[in-house]
Amino acid sequence: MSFAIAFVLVVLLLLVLAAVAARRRPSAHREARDAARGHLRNIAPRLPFALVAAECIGRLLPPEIVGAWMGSGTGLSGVLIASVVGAILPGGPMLAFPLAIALLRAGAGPEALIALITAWSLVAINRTLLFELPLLGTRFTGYRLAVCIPLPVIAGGCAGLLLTAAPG
Amino acid sequence: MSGPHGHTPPGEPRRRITRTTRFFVVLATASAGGLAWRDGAAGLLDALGDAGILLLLVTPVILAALLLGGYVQALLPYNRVARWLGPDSGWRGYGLAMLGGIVTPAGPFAVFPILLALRQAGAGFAVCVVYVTSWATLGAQRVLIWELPFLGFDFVALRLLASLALPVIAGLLAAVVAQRVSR
Repeated sequence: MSFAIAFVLVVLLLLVLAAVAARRRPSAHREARDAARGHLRNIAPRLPFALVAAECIGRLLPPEIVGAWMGSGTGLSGVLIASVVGAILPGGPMLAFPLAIALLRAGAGPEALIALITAWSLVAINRTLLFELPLLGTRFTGYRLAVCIPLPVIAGGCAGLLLTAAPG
Repeated sequence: MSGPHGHTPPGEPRRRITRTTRFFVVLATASAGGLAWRDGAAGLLDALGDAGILLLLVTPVILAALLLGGYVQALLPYNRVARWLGPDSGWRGYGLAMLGGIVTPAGPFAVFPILLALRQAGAGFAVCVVYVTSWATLGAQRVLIWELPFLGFDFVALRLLASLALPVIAGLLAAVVAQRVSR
């Protein structure tokens, strides 16, 4: 169901941008297609394996442990554990998000999961090592990561507060 | 040209592709092996079936979103963006950086070259941190491709609401240490 909603949203935005390109700069059509094809070549061979890995890892995770460490009742400690797990989680979104549903099914609380996704999106080890470090240097990368340390906990904490303020 | 990368085609060098892909192949094989060992062939087949359904559902979204990202990449006025976020852009710079992060395509292929261009155009450390934090935590393309389909609307709404202040918090912290990040 959510897949259909996401698809419709993306296609609508796509139509808007394609219309803008048609009016302002028709050569953008070709550039957009080439860029998309380049990204697709990277993603296509990995996607099936990533989805299989996430599904299997999710089933292998013992629900008792997930629930005890990151369950809804664990509060701040769950958020902290999830932040650490997110920060060291390797792989791109095709592993992280399927794994997130697996954790949700295994009993992780939404605030812990939000901390995990935030930490993963800010640190993403592979991305940092392959792109940020070579392009922007050690100082920039180091200070950026240092500045980001409190953010997953803030996001998880805010989510917890929002959930208590308006449950459900 | 389509961006700061000039003539280089988008995407990673060949060698990295195979290395990253190999990581996923090994991970999939190991976890599938572990599952088969614990739950038997039936358990593994069930998991593979679920993964297959997920693949069918997510593929059209990914295809459309990649094309969307391509259009953003092709239409974004890089030079003007670098000027808007340059030195002394102040709070307006923070706001624009946040907005820019939201619309920048999800892959690292777009965001880091832009970040480099921003630095070279004289953008301060804090503005760069606002931009990259906004891209990481609020980026629209990743929400549309991955998060909304997999985790649903309620979760996405909760996470975005809880993350709204993160780029600004990161920017303020970055402003404190900005002097130490040599330019």
